[in-house]
Amino acid sequence: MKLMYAKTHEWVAIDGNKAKIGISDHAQHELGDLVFINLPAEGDSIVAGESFCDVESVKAVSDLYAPVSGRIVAVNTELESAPELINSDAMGAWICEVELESEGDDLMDEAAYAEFIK
Amino acid sequence: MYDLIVIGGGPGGYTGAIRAAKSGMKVALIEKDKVGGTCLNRGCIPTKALLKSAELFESRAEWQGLGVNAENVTFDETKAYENKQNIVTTLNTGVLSLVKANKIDFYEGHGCIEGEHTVSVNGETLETKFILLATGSVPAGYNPKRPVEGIETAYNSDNVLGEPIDADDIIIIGAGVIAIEFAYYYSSIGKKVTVLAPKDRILTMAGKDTASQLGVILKKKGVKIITGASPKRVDKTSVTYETNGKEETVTGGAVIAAVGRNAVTEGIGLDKVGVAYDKFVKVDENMYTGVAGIYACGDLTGKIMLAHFAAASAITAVESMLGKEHSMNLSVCPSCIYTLPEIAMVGAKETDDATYKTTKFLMGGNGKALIEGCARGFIKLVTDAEDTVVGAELFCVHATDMVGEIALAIAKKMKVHEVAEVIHPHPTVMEAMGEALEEVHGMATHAMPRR
Repeated sequence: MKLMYAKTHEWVAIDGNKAKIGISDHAQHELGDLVFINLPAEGDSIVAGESFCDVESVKAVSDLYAPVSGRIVAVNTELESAPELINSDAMGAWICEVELESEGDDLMDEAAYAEFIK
Repeated sequence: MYDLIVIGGGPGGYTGAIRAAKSGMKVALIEKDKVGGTCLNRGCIPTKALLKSAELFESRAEWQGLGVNAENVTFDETKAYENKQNIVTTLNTGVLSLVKANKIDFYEGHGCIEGEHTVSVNGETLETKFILLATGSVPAGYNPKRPVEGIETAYNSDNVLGEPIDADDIIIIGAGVIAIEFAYYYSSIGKKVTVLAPKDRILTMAGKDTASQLGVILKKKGVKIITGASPKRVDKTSVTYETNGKEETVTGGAVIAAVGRNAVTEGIGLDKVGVAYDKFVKVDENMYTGVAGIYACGDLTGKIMLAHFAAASAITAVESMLGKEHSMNLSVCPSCIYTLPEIAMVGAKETDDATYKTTKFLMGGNGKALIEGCARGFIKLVTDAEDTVVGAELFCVHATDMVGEIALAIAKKMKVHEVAEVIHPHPTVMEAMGEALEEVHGMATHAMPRR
């Protein structure tokens, strides 16, 4: 499994041709308490760099951008009624899983991302 | 000899009759039940009156925090229905006195077209120059293509609003506006509610973000929402439905079917004069049926089944009869859903055109919304490439009162800055509308800078 981050603060865990996507702990901290996530739908195609989902915190609505391209094969619907799971465990609270077509440009590994958010 | 006979005394019919009378026409109004129609007697007004009781009861959880102490707060549904009935009766009487004051002849009975210029009622035959058909609609049984065995054993919105249901566990078939308002009402007064949604989500006419947020709010109130449920059989207190190819049965204390409404086209003599209709009476943009002197309005025409559209379309019909220029703009019609937060929609959807821009402003920073105890929700504006306001979806407290401003902007094809330049009063929920407009260009004061 390979864990990568996008400059827009999404993480992607790539395992063979499957990839799970979430947002980084840094991102959830910046967003504040999440009250809603507008989840994508199973079967949707997402394109690296384009918005695929939005989250609403007490402060703002923010678009999330796809770190990879592919077709969504699973959605973590638990987040719909409990978006706060992203705040409590950003790395565990995956949003969706895709059948990977291609990775986005400029993805960073953990060390590079840690440097990026410094 | 009348200038106009109106068949049906709902919001379309009585508005048309009064407008005609005020324009100098000699008018008769025929109603077989009570003036005010579905809206006043079995729809808008009674449901909102009951929701008022339910919302007040539900807010008891916040009272202590507001400094209000009360013990053993209980809900007396019979009393809530009495209050509802008092409001309905007051309005019934009000409409009747308006009818009388406008010197409209009121006939209580069943009106039926006998010829292009004749209408029968209570065995009498009346002559008229024009006829306005305003017979409205009734709760639908079910789509004949997908029959549901025993659906007639379920309650519908008519009988539910008559008197309280004696059941603690209520199954609602449908997930449209009527179904969701009932789900909201019953869950607020402490009943167990199951919603059988035929599609993959509730309120398919609203945006997915609005519908799923309200879905979460309902679930937190204990409402069970079963999506993709296609009902097959109803047996008074249970529903057997198909989901993902297999049959399941849910049993409760009562079943309410809220599966849409059918126009009343039967028994009003349409065939006698050749008025064209299928499920609805066909009309042109003047609300004219194409048969000499005969016009139709409201639910009967199936255009938009809402009371305010019925009234506006009746005015259009009367103006057409008089050869006057139309004073109503029927192309922009807001629609409202009375939950908490409320939902109000008008104009284009964000998905209607790829060039549309959507802006969402959150209510979290609005002081008045916070004071009202409902900081959840947002105002979503849809604008086109020329920065013209083309649509809005409001999901917040007072949404239904606020949507009018955007309806005006859309109807007058106003640019964002033309609406935003108007000072909105503070503190109001309405000032969030000013901020939402500013946020189209990222300038709202109470929104975080975009990342």
